[in-house]
Amino acid sequence: MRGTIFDRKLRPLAINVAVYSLYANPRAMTEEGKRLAVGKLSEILKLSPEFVRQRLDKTKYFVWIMRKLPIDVANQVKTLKIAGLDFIKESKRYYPNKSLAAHVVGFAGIDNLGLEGLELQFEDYLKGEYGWTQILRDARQRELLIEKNVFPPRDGFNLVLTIDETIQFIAERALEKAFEKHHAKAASIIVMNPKTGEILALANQPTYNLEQATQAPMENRTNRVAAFVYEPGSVFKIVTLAAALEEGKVKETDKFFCENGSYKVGNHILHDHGRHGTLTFREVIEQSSNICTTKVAQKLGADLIYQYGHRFRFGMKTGLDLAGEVQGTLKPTKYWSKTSIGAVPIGQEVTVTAIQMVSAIAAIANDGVYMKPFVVKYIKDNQDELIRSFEPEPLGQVVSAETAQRMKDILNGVVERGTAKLAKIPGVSVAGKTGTAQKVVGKTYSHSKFYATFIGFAPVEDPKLAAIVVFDEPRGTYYGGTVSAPVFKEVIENSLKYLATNE
Amino acid sequence: MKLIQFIKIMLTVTAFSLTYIHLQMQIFDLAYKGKMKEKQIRELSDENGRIHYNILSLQSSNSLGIKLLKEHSGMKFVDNDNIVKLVTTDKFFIDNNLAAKKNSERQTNFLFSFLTLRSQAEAKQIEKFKKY
Repeated sequence: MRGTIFDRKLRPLAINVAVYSLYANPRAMTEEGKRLAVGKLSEILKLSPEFVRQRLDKTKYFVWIMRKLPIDVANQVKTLKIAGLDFIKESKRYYPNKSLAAHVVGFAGIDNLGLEGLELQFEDYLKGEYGWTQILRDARQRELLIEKNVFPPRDGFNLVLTIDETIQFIAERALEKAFEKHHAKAASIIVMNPKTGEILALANQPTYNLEQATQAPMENRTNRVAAFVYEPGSVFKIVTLAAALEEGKVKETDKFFCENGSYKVGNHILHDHGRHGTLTFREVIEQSSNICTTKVAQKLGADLIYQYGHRFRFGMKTGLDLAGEVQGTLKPTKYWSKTSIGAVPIGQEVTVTAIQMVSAIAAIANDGVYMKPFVVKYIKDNQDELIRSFEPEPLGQVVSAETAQRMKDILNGVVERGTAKLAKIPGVSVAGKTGTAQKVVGKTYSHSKFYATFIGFAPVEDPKLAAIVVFDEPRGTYYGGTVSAPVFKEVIENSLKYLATNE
Repeated sequence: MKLIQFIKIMLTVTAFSLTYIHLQMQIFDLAYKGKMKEKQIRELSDENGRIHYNILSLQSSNSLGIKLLKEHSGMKFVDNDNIVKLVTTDKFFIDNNLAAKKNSERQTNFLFSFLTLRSQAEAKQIEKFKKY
C-alpha cells in the first residue's frame, strides 16, 4: 500500500483506498453473456456500448473493462453475476481535500506511481515493496489458507509535511477570491515560518482537483512558485536596502533628491509613480522611489548590489524539496550595461521565483539568517518509527542582526505610511514591501501587463509568519499595494489568530 | 494364520488411512472456512477504508471551510482579545492523561471495570477540573 501524506498535524492529504478493477475473459463468455454485459456495464459504468462491445469481441483471455472502480460500483457489477467478468483488487490514491495543496502534494497515476509534486519527488519512500507467497489452489482455482514461503509486502512510508491544512485553506481561499476579483492570469502565495524555513502554505491559481488531475491543463498543474520566474520589480529593493545599511554607506535619515519623477541613467529615462522631491532614505523605501533607489545604488556601486543579490541567493536554487525548481537570473556585473545600475537595484533585468523572494524576506525577519525552505518535515512508517527527519537548515547570515532590525523598522514604515497601507493588521505590527513590475512583452516593457507583488512578515517584534503574494496580469488595479497586500493581510491576520488558538 | 495377520495389518492400515484422510479433509475444510473468513475480513476492511475516506473528505478543511465560511456566513476566526488562555500545571495534565487512560481501559473491559472500585478516583478528577 502506498504511503500516506499528512499535514503537520497528521491530517491526511493523500490516502490509499481499496478499489476493484474489472476485467473480462472474452473466450469464456457466451454470446448471450456478452450481450447482457454490453447493456448493463455501459449503464452502470457510464461507458459507451460500442466500447464495451469492442472490448468483449477481442479473442483474448484477459481484457480490462475499467480500472479502479469504487467499491459501491463494483458491488453493482458483482450482482449481475455474468460469467467471464471478474475483478482484481487494487488500491487507488484519493485526496480528501481535492484541490487543497495540489501543487505541493502532486498526484499519482493509475498504476500508483507518483507523477507530480511530492508524490513524484518522494516516490522511493512512498511506493513500498511488493510481497509474494506460494499458495495452494484446488482444482477449481480456489485459494486455500495454506501458504508457504511468505514474503510479506512492505507498505510505503508516510510523509509528514510542514504544511498546515488550515493555513493552506486560509491562503487558498483568499488567493482564489482575489484571483477572481482581479481577473488575473495567474497568482501565487507562500506562507513560511521565517525562523525555521518551514512552508506552512503554498498555493497557485489556477489550480486543479487532484482526483481529476489528468484532465487539468498543464498550466494549472505547474507549480509557479518554484518553476516560474518573473521580474520582481520594487520588492527587489530590499537587496539595495540591505547593502546600503550593512555597508554603512547610507543612513535612514540621509536625504536624496528624487528629481521630481524623471531621471536619466545611461540612455534610459527612469520614472517614479509620483513626482517626489527630496526624501530621506527611509521615505525612499516607504514611497518606493525608483529614482532615489537608483541614486543609492550608484553610491554603492554595481559590485555591492550584485554581491548582496548573491547573498540573498538570487540566481541560485533555494534547495526547496519540490521538483522543478528553477534558479532565475542575476547577471554578474561584467554583463551589466550602462543602464543596468538603474534597473537591477529596482528589480529589473533580474528574474526570481516566488520561493526565492519569500526566503529573502524571511531572512530579514529571522535577524539576517537565511533558512532553507522545505515542505517535508519527516518520514515515518506505519508503526510511527521515524525513517528520516528534515531539520531546519540555516544557509547563511545575509546581513547582521542589527541591520536586519533596521530593515524591519523601515519595512514596517512601508506598511504604516508607505505603499502597503492595505497590509495593515489591527493590533499586529506588519513589515513588508510592495512591487509592481511591468511585464516584458516582445522586447519592451508593457504598459498594460504587470506583476503585482507583496512580501512581508508579522509581527515585526517576533516574526511568526512571512509570506509572498504575486499576481500575474491583474486587471483594473494592478499595484502590489492594492492587489496583493490585501490578500497578505487577510491570510496573515487569520493565520495568526489560528496559531494563537493552537499554541 | 498368515492370512489373519495380513487382514489385521490391512485393517489397521486402512483405519489409519481413513483417519489420515479424514484429518486432511478437516484441514482443507478449515482452510476453506479460514479463506472465507479472510475474504469477509478483507471486504469489511475495504468497506472501512471507503467509509474512512468519506469521513476524511467530509471533515477536511476544504469541505468544512467551504460550507462554514461561505460569503456572509458571519463566521470568522476568533480575535486574539477573545481568546482566554487557561494556565494549567503539569500535574493537571498528568492527572487528566491518567484519567483518560483509565477511562479508555474501563471502556475496553467493562467486566473488569464492573468488578473494580473506580468511581472514587473519577470523582476526585472532576473536583480538580472544577478548580481551573
